[in-house]
Amino acid sequence: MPRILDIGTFNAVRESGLAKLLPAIPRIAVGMGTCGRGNGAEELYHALNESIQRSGMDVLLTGVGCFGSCFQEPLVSIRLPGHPLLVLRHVQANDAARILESLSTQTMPADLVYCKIEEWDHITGYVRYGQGYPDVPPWNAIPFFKGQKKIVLRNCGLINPSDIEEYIGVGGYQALYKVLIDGRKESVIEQIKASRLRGRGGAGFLTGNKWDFLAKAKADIKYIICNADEGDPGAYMNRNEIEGDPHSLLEGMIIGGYVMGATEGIIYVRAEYPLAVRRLNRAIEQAREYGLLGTNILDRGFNFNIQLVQGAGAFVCGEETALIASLEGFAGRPHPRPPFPAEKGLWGKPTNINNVETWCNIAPIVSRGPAWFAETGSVKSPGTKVFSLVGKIQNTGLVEMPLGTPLKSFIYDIGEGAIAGRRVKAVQTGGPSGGCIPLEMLDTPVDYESLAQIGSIMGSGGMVVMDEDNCMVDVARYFIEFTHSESCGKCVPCRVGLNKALRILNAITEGSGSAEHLGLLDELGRMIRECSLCGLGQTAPNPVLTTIRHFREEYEDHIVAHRCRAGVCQELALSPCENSCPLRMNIPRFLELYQEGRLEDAFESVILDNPLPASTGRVCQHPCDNRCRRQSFDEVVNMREVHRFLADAIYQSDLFEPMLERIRALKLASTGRKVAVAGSGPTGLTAAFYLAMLGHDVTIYEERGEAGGMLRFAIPEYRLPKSVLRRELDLIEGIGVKMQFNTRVGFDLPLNDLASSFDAVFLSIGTWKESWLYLPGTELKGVYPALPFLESVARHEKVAMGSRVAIIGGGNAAIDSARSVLRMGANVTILYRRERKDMPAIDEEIQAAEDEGVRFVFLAAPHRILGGADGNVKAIEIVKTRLGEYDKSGRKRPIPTDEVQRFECDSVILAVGETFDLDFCRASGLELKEEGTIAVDRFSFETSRAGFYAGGDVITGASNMSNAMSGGKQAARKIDERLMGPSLSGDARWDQLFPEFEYSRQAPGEPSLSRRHTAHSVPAEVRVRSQEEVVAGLDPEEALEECRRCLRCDLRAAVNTH
Amino acid sequence: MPNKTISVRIDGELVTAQEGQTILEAAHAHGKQIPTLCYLKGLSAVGACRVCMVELAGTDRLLPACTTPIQDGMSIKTASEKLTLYRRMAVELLLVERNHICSACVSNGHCELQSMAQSLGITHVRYSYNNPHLPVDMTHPRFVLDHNRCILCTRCVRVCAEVEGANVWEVASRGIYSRIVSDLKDDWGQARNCTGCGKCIQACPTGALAEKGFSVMEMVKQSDSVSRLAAQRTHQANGALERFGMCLQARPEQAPGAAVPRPFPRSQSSRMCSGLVGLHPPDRGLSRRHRRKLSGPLTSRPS
Repeated sequence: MPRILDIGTFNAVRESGLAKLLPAIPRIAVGMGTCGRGNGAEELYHALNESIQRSGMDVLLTGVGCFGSCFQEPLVSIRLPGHPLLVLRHVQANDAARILESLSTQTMPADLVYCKIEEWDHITGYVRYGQGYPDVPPWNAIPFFKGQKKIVLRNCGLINPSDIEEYIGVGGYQALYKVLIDGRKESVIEQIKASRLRGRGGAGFLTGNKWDFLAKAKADIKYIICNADEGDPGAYMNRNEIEGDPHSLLEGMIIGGYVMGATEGIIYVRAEYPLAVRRLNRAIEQAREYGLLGTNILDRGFNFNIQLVQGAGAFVCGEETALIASLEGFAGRPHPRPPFPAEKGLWGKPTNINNVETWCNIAPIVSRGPAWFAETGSVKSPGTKVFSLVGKIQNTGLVEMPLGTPLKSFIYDIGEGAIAGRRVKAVQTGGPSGGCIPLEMLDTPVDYESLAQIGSIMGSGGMVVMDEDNCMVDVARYFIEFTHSESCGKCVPCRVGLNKALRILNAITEGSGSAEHLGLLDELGRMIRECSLCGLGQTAPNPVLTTIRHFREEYEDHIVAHRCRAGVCQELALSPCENSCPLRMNIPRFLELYQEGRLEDAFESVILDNPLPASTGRVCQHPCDNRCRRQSFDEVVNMREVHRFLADAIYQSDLFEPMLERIRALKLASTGRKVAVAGSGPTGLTAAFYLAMLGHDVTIYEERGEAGGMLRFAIPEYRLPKSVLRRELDLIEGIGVKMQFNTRVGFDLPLNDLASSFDAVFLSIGTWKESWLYLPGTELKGVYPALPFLESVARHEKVAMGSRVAIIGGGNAAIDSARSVLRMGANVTILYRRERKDMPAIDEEIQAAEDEGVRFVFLAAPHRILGGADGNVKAIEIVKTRLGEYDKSGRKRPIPTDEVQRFECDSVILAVGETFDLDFCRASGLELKEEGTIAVDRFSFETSRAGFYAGGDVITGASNMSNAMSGGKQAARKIDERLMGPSLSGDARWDQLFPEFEYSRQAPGEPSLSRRHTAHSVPAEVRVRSQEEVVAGLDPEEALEECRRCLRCDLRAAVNTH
Repeated sequence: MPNKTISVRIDGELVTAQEGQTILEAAHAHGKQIPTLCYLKGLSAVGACRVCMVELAGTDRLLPACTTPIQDGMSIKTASEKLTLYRRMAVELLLVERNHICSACVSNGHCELQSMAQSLGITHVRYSYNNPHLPVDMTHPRFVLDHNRCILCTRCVRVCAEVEGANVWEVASRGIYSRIVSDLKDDWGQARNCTGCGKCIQACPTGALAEKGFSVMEMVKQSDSVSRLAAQRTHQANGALERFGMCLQARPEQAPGAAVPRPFPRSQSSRMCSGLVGLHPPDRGLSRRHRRKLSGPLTSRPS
């Protein structure tokens, strides 16, 4: 074994190491980190080995650490002599033969190729692999790697971590050699100081200063410790750093030991990292053999030993004083500082503790100098930091970025945004000690100060991305549960305070939170933060404090409305579908009731939850589909179509009258209170239905001559036949709701008059005003706003459209207009400034429009409308856009380019959003919000004027049918509570409305694979020629089968947890 | 070794302190009261209860007075609205953590937790009670350990280790599940190290550690004398130990892996310390008189 004693032997080892990296034969390296192994790297390695043996080819097979892109594991890198390093992804054991074959043919399997590396800066050395493969993107052109700068991870995934020669081959231990030869200890400390390297464990203390303390401390023996007790949930930087490049850590420690005058080094690593422990042990052993560790290192008379100690997995042992206590054999409980470890640490001797990553930065700084290091990163936080990017994001893995990079680059550039169809909601940095940063703050640069300013911390580098499916209260609860169970119990704030905080959070997530809880939590959080003894307690409340600060609404939802929007808090939801439904329909119940052959009961269940089941069954955006658990088995249950079927079955048969009788019988006794409802759209109808059921005398005032609002005058006949709507209105009128038509509240009927003759007034007048686009040419004849256009169509009025129509917009109004125009026999083009996946319209509708022949032009923003001499529209010019950075909606912002295109057309429909006309409200003493909506209390729906309530689009802005109805339903309940006062019997009036249904609570058996039944559509070429309904709904047998597919998530096993 | 005199401000008043003193010691030396629970003069300070937090001018951070060494030029504030709030919260948290039912407690009226709560004006707690099920260890012939009343101040642990040298007590488990245990979680009655000196009883601020044979309100403790004794012992022991190159308060210096040398052989330590204490007969007599005075004819105590 070559013990390195001089530059000659050092260089010989270096040559031999480099020869292993760039052999004259093909080299195959399998990513064998924990992430790779988890994805089958070991089997792959054996398969490759076997294939090589069998084929008798001369190939060097080796294992390397993780290259960072954990989501592409197992990764394999292949190098043919003289060629670039080719990285393959998602390689499985059965690809082994294919890969070997490709070595001889020199054509790589295209489906596996990820990227190529032509040359690599190992910081301490430079490796040129070769040129070639013009079709393969270089590694740093891949979004995941673009912008990354690998200093700490400089060798990870490229060299064999179990072979010290490869490390030396890329320039390893050269820094140590230099330091030992120079022998100027102070100058190294000066270099570290000048680099302004900060502790990567999270606190960010200047490493140079810390080293200086120890160097100056006088004692017979000094210790240096590497803190590898990485215990944050979701963080695994240190694990991969050690697994991929253990010598980098050792070299940093040996240099540190030399310059600080320590002779003993200790690495405190979690026992849960067996592979890291194994590789470290191997590395220490090899370093000893090569004379880089032990006595007389590099023949310079310096003695230094490194001992590996495995921690038993207590999170608090990452705190330095607790870590020292643990090393000494005591329970891992922290001590107050001062005295700091630099004065009195392990065994009472001066001690320096640094994180793995800090140590890994030492060799690069020594070899390239502090000025080079400070080039990267921000002024106060130079260098890079490794983050583990995990959670609800496309690309997960280890990311090394310059400090000061804005958070959104991590999420959108490196991570490539949320998982399809979702929106990023927040990012949690720093693990259980960090905070949740909301989407609005993603511009924050990631450095120590900026994160601290917004209540989070850098921590060791965990970065957990969350989307709408994460409940922020539950997130806070989860982290507090973690720190609570990891608290050592020494000081009161952390021991008892976290316990109380956890109990409060548990209460909130279980629906038994109270209004005082938020204040208590906040106060408790501050006290724990300021009074705790060690870092664990001082940072533990961060998740609570930041979520209260940035997501207060979610807490209020849980406490006041017992609602968990994300559907995470099980106690607050019956089933995922019920929780996702804005109307909170008991979906499993009606599915079960129909399955039991009880059509009337099923309908009753539906109508009591949703007074417009036939209409919602046709036009709802069905959030339940995204939630159905069946989706992880085969396909989601078609819940919307089942309740449409139930409604149609009743409405189109003679069961309607008896049904109406049944519902009437459920009405509570007349209260004698009078309620006026302004507007007969979905919100108004829903509120009126429930208020009437609760026994109030309800009158709806409607501006137009017919009821239904948008359902009647905006949604076209082919989507929602007006005969269907008529039946729904019959039912609502049937239970005693009075309708007053052609009366515009606020104009024909002043609000003050309503106030004097009614006990309560509910405003639900919708968003009928079309937003106007300020565009040259909108004054021309043939330019129509979408809503008035749709209304004219609904009234069967003749609109002169010509034969070519352009529609601007991407929402449901644009699609509805397009399909209506199509039925008038014209050609339609929809111009939208983003891409199809960004369109807010319901996907099935877009699909249907495409099928019917609507043309779409994406990335097209309107520029101007051109008119002829007659004042009619002649053409429209659009500017092509390209997508830029992500905006606050989580979509990419369209940026205009220079390219202008012209479309000849006869008319233009503007469908760019709806707005309101609520000036009359302000005149009557109702406060409006800045965005023009009526200001109401979020939970009671009360406006600023007593007795006046508002709901639906007028408070939320333009939304969709089910959200609008949900506003009406909740408002009706609140109005009733306010009118009738608290129930004396303890049985809330609202609950009395809903009869108990007896139905099977037997869990269905093991499900078998089955297809979702979709509704039948009339063929596109037939339906475009008529106004007839396009979608025909399910037949009874299909509906029954859909019901049988329900997995009954509403059933809970009674498990005794005590 | 004479300590350097430094000047500091405590609540605005310019005072002198000795280098090496903690903030608490410096404040006490000038008659400034800072509330404490886990602190006991003469024992090492641990900073567990966080009741003695003070404000330091120039930083946002609060510092525990009992463990923070005072430094030249420091300006300390010992009372503020925030400090009062946090001190109250700390005591509130202790009150809800276990089952502190004063009306049934031997230490009622003589309890540091109770008087601290009173002096902070705590009339009720805002958090729900944990009501844990906790055992009472009655196995010792003369003493009783009631976990329901323990606030984990660890004074018993320290007095036993640092003054008596018996190391009977330790804290087992962690977080909210932390418990004071004797020996290796044995019953106290089986604890081989226990010399029966009773110092832990006197050091305990609440009724968690008490002598048997007392009823409600009867247990009056002499923590002052433990304090005096502890201070004296530390001084004496250090003097005696210096000859062996040892010090009681600091951890023994040794190489990793070597066995921790005990300051004294067990038998010797108990003899020496118990001889010095002599707490039992006079104190016990005093308590009995006190009991008769307090309880009168209403109490019928089983003999």
